[in-house]
Amino acid sequence: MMDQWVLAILGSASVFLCLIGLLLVPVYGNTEGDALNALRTNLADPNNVLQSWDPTLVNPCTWFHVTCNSENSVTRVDLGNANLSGQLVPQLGQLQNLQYLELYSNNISGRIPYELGNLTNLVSLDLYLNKLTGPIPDTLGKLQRLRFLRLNNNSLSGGIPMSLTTVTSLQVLDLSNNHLTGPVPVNGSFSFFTPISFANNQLDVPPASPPPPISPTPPSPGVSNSATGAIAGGVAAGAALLFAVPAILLAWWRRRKPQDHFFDVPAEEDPEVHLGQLKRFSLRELQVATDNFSNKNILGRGGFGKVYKGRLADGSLVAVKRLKEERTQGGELQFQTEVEMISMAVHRNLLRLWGFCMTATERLLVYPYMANGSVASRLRERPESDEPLGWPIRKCIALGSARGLAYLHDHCDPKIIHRDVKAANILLDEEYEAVVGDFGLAKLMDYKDTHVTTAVRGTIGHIAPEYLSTGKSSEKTDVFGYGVMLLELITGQRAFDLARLANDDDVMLLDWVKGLLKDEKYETLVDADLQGNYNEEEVKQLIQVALLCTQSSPMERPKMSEVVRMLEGDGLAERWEEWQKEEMFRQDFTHAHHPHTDWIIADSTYNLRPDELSGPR
Amino acid sequence: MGIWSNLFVLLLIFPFCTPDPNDEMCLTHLSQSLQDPLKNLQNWTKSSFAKPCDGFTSYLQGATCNNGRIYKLSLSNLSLKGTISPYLSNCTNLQALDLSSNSISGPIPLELQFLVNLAVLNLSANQLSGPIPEQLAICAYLNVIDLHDNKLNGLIPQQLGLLVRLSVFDVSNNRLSGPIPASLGNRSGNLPRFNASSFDGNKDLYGYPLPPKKNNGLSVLAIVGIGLGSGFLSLVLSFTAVCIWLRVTEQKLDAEEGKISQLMPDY
Repeated sequence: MMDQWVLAILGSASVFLCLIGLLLVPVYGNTEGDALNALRTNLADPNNVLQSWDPTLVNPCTWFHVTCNSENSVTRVDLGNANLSGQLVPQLGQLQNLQYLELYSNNISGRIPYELGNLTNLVSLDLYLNKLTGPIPDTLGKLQRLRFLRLNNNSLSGGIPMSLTTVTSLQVLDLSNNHLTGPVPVNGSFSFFTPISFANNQLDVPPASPPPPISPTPPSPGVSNSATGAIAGGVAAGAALLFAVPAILLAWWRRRKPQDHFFDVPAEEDPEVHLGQLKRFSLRELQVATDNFSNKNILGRGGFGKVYKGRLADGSLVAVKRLKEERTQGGELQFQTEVEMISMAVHRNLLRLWGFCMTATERLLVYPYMANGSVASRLRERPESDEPLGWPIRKCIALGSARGLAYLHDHCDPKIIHRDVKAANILLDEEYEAVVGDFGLAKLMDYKDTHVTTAVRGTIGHIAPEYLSTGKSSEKTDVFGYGVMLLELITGQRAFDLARLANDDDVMLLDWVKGLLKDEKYETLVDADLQGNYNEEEVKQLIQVALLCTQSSPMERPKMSEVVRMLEGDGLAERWEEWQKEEMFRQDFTHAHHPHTDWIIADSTYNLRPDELSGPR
Repeated sequence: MGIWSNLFVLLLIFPFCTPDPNDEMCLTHLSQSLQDPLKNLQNWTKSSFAKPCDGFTSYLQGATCNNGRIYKLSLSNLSLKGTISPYLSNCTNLQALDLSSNSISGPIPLELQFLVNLAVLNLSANQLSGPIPEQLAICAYLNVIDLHDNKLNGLIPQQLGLLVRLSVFDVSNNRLSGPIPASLGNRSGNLPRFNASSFDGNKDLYGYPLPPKKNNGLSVLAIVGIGLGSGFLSLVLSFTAVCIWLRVTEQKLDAEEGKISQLMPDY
């Protein structure tokens, strides 16, 4: 009983196992075999190429024209040129590992099963040269590994599925010789396919080729050339601007200070040279003091150059005489000597030279600043606000300037002849004390050339006749100038005007003055600015001195030291008496001769232009 | 006679078996112009040229057939030398030509323009010289023009930009010069664009996507020279002008000074 039970159990178990084995193992093979068998049954096979296809076998891997992989799954079906006919079956979609489905050159008809879209491993689908009809299944777009799709030479109809353009692996596509209609896709993978792939259909041939190009327009190099030109031009303009700016700046600078073109040679401070109390200034110092020789600091312009007002670093006011460039070419040593000489003249009534500056191109003299200007300016260019010079001051001026000149003539070694004594050169300090300026320069400026320029200009009327005619100067030349200056001081008029007045009246100046003296018509003679506040006797004396000083013969003029004494009240009366006697005698004599030749010469110069006086001496 | 008529019938029945005379000429001349020192081209013989294809089956190494015609020629990396025969244009159904990574020299034949079905042209990594034929633009289906690593010179034809299907364009590492046509460097619309790597390695090539021209023809030295020269000239001119102007103003000033000095007192 037990054995039977055991046997029964064993038997049923074995049967069960066998059943399980039958169920499990051949399922794979059977499905693919069944699918291929279904194809076989649907095809007519006149050449018996499918003879080996035995559906009872475990799998189709031993069948001819079928290739499997190592897992006994079908990868290839090669049935090209097999003279098969009939139709394809949907079961083909179950061959999941199928890579090659080659059914070309047969007589297969019917439709392409859409289930072929399930063959996702398919690499090649060759159904060309058959009698297939119907559309190309849209599902073929799912075959993302497909490289060869050849459906040419069938009777396929409908459109080309757009899904095919997504199959980027597609290398060869041939849909020619069918009855396809509609548009040919050009995008995606179809970009690579040319009309060869679509020939002999009823397709809308796409305007495949872009408009034939070739109108050879070589890239115009002109653009780049013009760009180059522009760059070069720009650079040139920029550089030009860059270079021109300094020039323009320089011009502007010089326009602002048109006279100030000097070269700043560092002041050659020479410790070896001690010039007594004379100070040697650096150019920089004087530039700072005069605000770079600013025009608004000009005090005056003389024959030797412009005079600038300046303030030194220590606060003291100075007048800086800037000698004219063309007249400063002399040797430095000579200049120094002259300057030294001038500086030796130290007197209450002389404008003291404080210092000088000398560079290669610049010669400057530094004087103390005279607050009250010159006698000429006080007489004639006095602003309304200023008091006119009173008679006592005028007397002081006469005496002071006489002392100054006397000092120049008698106490200087070598003696200094001023050569240009006039009211404009007599300056007034804070106490209205007369200070003779501009002396020594004539000689100083004279060493180089032979031109008398503006030194004579503006001084017409002051020039002694013998100086004008012979060019020889002496102390007596200064005495003449002093005399004229006295007349200026008394009358307040210009020496030139005085002379003209005399000329117009056709009476000699001296005669005219003498006549007035005789008649005691001082009001016509004396400066109206005095408003009658003067001592007639003193005026008379001063006029007498002036007339003595302006005698045409230098020999007869008194010396400056004598003039000083006369002004101090010593010897004027005697001198005057003597002069009047001689005058009487001379007047008798003149009627026969021409005693005033010198004056005629002087007169003749009135009509000359100043320039003509600038001729060589 | 019977045999001939049979043959004729055979030809009618199997049209794909007919050897194409054009392909034969194409292959014959190509094999003559190319040199194959390592004998890599197996069965490239006269008989195979006569019948390279049987339908879609190719009897020739490197060739792909379609309907009995050569569809693709892929002879990449075979140490080939020599030149490309202009008769290649007789392979009128050629869709892809790949001769890359060889040592082929000489020019790119102008006759390639007759390969109207050409979609892929890969001649990269050879010794090709001369210009890129602008006539390639006639091959309207060109998707790929790969000419990198050659010795090509001259300009890049702007007409190539008209190839709407062009998706790969690589001319890097050549001796090309001039501007990159905007039709290629800066393509409009939905056309595929090419970045700088397509143009790199050409000394005298410039323009987007490469940097713009550096020297614009004139060397820096020349520009600086022009600038300095004209600057100097203008300096001289302006200084002369200033000098003349100063002289004039000085004269004026002197005249004025003359007037003033008569009015002003001497100091």
